[in-house]
Amino acid sequence: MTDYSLESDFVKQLDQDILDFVSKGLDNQDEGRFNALALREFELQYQTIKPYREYCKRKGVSPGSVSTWQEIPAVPSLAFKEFALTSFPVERAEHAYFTSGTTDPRRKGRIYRDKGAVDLINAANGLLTKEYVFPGIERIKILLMTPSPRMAPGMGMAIGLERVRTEFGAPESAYLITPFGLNVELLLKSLIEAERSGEPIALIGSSSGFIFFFNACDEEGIRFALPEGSRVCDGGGYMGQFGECSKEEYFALCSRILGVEEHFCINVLGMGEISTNFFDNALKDYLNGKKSERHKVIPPWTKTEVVDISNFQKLSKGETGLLKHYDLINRAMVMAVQTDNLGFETEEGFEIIGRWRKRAGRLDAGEIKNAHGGKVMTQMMAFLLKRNLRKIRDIYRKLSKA
Amino acid sequence: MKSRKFKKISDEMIGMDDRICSCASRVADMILSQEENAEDRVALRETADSLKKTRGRGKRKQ
Repeated sequence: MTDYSLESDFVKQLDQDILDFVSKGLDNQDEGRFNALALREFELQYQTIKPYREYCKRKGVSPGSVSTWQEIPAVPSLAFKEFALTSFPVERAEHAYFTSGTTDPRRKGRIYRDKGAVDLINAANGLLTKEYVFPGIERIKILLMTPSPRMAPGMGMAIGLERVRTEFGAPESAYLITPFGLNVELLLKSLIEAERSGEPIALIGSSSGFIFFFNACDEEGIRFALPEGSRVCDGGGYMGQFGECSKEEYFALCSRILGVEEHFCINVLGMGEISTNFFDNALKDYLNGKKSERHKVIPPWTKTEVVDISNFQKLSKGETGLLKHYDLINRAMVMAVQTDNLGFETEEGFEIIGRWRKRAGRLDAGEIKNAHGGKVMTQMMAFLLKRNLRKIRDIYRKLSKA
Repeated sequence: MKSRKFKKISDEMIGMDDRICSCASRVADMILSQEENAEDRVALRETADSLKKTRGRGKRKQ
């Protein structure tokens, strides 16, 4: 009987082989190797994750019955909220965090990764971050629009960005979200210092936090002219907490408020259920003088398909459907994940345009197409937002009198 | 949409994941719930004032 424990040759060799595959870089096109690794990973996850195994059995699929990665059943992302989908005992987890349910806080996704899986995620996302956010840069001052992992130990974005800070951040890099909320003073001071010194700066973190700040600045006509090479990398999606903001409006705000042009704005799709982050091609292609449409890059150790919302069959390029990801870096969980994200395949990658919510078979794509996020704002949020904006406005009024 | 507890993984779950992104939502909540302590930031005025006085357009790296 095969041993699938973390100490087993099976898992150790699989981890090493995936690491080797990642280390071959972003131009690796070895489809056969990807397929072989995917099948081995499926065997591991089928044998060790009971709810997933039962799901596969109901579909009549087992490791012995598949020969291509496309046949591996993808687990719906909601399953991560209902079950602990890990290929190892959770008490061995090095990373443990939760994805929260926005409408029901009791329904939280549980994400666990063992040390080997953390090494995989660091290798993969480190390579991608270097390539698509910091090409040609060793270290840069990073302002992180997120709390530190110490403040929010269960937040995936905080854990991921701490790695980015240590790997790419200059010593003066700092977290902007504190127990008292957004550290406006630090943010303003850093932006003004960057303007004055001519040293580029990187702002990375939550889309919602940036939009909040941009809105406050916009309302008061506050502008910065950050040095060339400064960049904004946003992720986490935007639910419209601070009002509507389309993708185009977001780029316009980056340009108007910070002086950072669109090609220095990188959006990242990161999900707790999927280990690999999907980065925009925009900055890398711009610096390489390559003209191409903005899209999310699919690195060699992942595959992304777009499937029909009704029969889950693969769609052609350009057709809108649900994004399905296969990620070798997900060794600790389930490699194949069926998300509720709506998107479409492009010539060189994919693009995400919103979410699908199953309401009597209704497709909401039309409502949210081209939006940087949703358009939901509760009365309470509107009240809090108004109050917060007023306080930032007061601070700026004091500034302008100086 | 009302939450529904699933006993097994099923394709019925597709389209029922009402979370868009927890991290971004939580950051937004942290920003929105903080400003009770804004009075603690009186120091911002002095800091900002001094910065403003010496603020220039700065050189832009090419």
